[in-house]
Amino acid sequence: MPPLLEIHNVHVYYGRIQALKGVSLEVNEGEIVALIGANGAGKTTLLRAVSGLLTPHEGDIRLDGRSVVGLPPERLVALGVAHVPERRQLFTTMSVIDNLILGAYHRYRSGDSREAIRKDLETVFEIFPILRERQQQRAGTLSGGQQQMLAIGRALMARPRLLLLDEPSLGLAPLLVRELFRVIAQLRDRGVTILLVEQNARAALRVADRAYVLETGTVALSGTAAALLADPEVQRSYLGQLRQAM
Amino acid sequence: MLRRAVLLLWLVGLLFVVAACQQQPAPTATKPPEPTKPPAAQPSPTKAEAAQPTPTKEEAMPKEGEPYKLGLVLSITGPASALGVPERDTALMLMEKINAAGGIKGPDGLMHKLEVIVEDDATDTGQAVLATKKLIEQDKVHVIIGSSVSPNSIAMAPVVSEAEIPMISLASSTAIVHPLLKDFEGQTIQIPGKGEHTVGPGETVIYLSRLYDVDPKAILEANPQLPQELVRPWVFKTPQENYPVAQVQADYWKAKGVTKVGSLGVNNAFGLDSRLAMKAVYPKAGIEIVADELFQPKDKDFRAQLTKIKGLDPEGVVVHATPGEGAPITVQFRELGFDVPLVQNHGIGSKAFIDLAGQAAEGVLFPAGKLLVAETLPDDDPQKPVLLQYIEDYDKYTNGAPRSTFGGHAWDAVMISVQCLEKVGPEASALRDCFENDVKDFVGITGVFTWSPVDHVGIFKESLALIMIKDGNWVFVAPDEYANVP
Amino acid sequence: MSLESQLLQFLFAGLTLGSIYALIALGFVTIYNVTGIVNFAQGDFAMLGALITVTLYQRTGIFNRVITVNLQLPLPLAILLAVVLTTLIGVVLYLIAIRPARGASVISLIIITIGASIALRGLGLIVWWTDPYPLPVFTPGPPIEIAGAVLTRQNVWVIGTMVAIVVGLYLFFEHTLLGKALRACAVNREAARLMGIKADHMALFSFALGAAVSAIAGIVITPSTFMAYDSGTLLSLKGFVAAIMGGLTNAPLAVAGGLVLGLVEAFGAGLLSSAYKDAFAFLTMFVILLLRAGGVFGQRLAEA
Repeated sequence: MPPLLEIHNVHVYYGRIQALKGVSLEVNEGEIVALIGANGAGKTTLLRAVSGLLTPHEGDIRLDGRSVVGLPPERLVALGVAHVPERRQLFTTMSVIDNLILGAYHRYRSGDSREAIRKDLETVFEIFPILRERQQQRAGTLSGGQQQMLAIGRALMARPRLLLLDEPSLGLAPLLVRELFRVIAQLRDRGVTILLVEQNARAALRVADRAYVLETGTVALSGTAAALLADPEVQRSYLGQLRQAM
Repeated sequence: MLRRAVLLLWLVGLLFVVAACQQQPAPTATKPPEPTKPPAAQPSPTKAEAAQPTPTKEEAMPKEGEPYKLGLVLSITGPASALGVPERDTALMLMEKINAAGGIKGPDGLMHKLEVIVEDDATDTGQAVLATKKLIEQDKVHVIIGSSVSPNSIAMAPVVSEAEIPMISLASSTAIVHPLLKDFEGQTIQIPGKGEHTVGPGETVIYLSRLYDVDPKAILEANPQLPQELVRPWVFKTPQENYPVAQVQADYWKAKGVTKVGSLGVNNAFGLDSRLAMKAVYPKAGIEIVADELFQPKDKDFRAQLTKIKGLDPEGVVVHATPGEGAPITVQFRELGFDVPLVQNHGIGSKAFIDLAGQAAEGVLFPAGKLLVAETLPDDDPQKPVLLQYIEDYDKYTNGAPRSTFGGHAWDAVMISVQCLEKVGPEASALRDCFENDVKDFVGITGVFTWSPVDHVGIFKESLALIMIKDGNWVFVAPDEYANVP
Repeated sequence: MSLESQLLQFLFAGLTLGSIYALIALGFVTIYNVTGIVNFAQGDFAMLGALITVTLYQRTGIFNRVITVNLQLPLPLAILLAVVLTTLIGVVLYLIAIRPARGASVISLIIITIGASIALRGLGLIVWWTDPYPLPVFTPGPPIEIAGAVLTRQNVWVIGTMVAIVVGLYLFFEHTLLGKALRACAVNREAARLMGIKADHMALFSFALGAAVSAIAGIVITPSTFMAYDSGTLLSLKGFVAAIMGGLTNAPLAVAGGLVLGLVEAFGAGLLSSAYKDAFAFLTMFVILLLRAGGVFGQRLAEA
């Protein structure tokens, strides 16, 4: 059985600047894979390539062994890829419940049963009880942590097989970050495969099964999360004293 | 790349459409575009070509001289096409008729074919000037007739004046024949015996002479700074001015005993001229203008202005407009429940007004040329036989196109030209002098013309009829009946 | 006529005019929100809606009277068909003019819509020539008199239609999935795509909706103001001014902007000077824009 996501030798350019220089990695069903690296290493670019927001200039991206290069995000979400973009990108002027409903947009369009969608909404509310309380509130008025929960909840409404999380801890207080990673682990237990991009490498490696270290557009290191956590190179570059928060 | 190419293609297509909208006609002499109304009545190019005697014919008939040429600049396409088309058809009809009878017998004793060369200016001032130059320089026409609309005619006037070719305009504005005092706006001039006057927009010496009842020449003498020219020497026109129209309106108000009226006029040159005429005429007739409201061309809602007028309780309302705005004004006038007479001017003298305003048009009164009500004129009216003949000819020539006062303006211009060509031949200054001195009591379609060195329009209020819209038709109201209509 | 009833009359006139401006403004806002395009052909849809209704309803000669259309459909059916046809024209306009230029600069897109407006006007001229056309009032009968002022039945239709469309659009945007998807596109296009919302379809739909609303606006005013091939230009302009007053993105404010504009015009022309009716409208726009300093254009230009 092929891995759920297979990225092979992907190159992406922004004009004349090369953001990804032949990245290859894979994500297997049921695991959390962390992608760590410095700012500008190409982590976000890679996620955007996977979700179809940009098309690689070279290389292949396969979902269940089938190439999905060139498909628009509208198609990829139907194939089970849900992307929680950096800074959450909520529909700020709309209510929490509307954001969640729109998360299931492609399922309404493809005729998935209302009952199933309603059940998933229940699940999201179970995971994030605060969203149930705030369901009529405008998304833009939620706190940062609540907004992040909504963004993830919205993505879950698409009933994804692969969840792409881009910097979920960005701008959150330490207590909330801990809570967030607890939820991420819980999602894996519910069977969602996750590709997680994080600057907070320590937190990411603690929750992940495996990880890749991206440096200036290439994979510099890879291995199990535990191994990387113990790697002196990683410790020096990414788990330094600045990460005291964890 | 592909997207860029598609975008470019689209833009090119767009330019094409835009260009098509401009309707730039290739100025082809003697080949008028197809008439818009009944397609059956296409004056085919052969008709025009027939005007040019073939060389063989010229040899066969040595008694025939060079053709006399009239150059017409008409707005056949563009917004004023409703004017240009009947004008063209009337001119071509007359050419056919005159040439069928052998042509014009000139003062040299030879028969001359009449050649009518029509240029379309597409209701565009620039094209009107170009067409005028072409007609004068290339076609060497003897008289310029046109254009259908005032701005074009005003632009053409300096061209013919410089070339010294007589021109007869078919448009309404006073400024075509009387130079406007535009350069003196806001300045004070002396009115002999009446004091000072501050010149306002749209005013002419002739207007001031009417306003103050002073001889126009006396005004010129008292104000040497003004250009000492009452009329443009080379320019004449056949449509009536707004002045006699206002006189007929005033006669009606007087007969009804109305002493205060509200006015609503379009804020352009036409409305201004009509309102000036009203202001020159009404007060002298004892009629107070209690409201002088304006609206912009293409406006669609006049309720605010009408409400304001209604608030002043006038005994009558006068509107200066063309059907596009005149019809909605009429509808909204009725909606607001006015119970006073509504008088408009010759601007609404087309069937379009009745079609648009429908039931609301009933009872609307307006002075206009007698053509519209030729059948109901009294038999002793001097114009009646000429009008009926024109209506019959035009109907036959165009296969039933509705009669049009605009065609009548062209009829007058062509027939006055023919009369003078017959009398003095094609020499320009002789023709001009003939127009100025020998057009006396000329019975035409628009009116009975008497041109003079101070009057290049020469139509008086007797040439106008007060017309009432009744059961969707135009009905003549005789002057002694004014008091009895609603 | 007393001053009170005059004032009331100005109010009626202003509300009627303002309702039309509000509807055109709603079209501007809908399309702008979803696509980022200021569609200057908005008023021309009103012209098309009205003239197509006229053609279907009464015997009409088109293409220089070469073709005579003599369908004489019942008025409600003619209106329905005309709205559908105008909507289709809006869709076609999007497909052939706007869509190929996706990704072009804001200025290019504006130029394209101005071009489209000229093209539609040209089409109107070719088909219907320069004549203005009337439609009968929807429900004939005497006007309603209130304290000496007159409110005609057609005015009621105009204002009622505006209210109905505003309510209808509100329900649509707030309570249907498609409406929510459109709003999502307006708020965050990229995020909407990640939800599986096809931005292209939403853009197309916004043009259809904008065209339909304008067409209805054009049809309801035609009985009292008539419609000619070039009437759309002024409607576009006034609708745009109303939309700008509301910030170009806010539908309720655009409706308010339309009503304010209509009232300013009616009271300005009635109480001050009718010659400067349009000037009042633009003056109001400037004042409101100044009050909203740093408003829509500052932002948008900075983005562009």
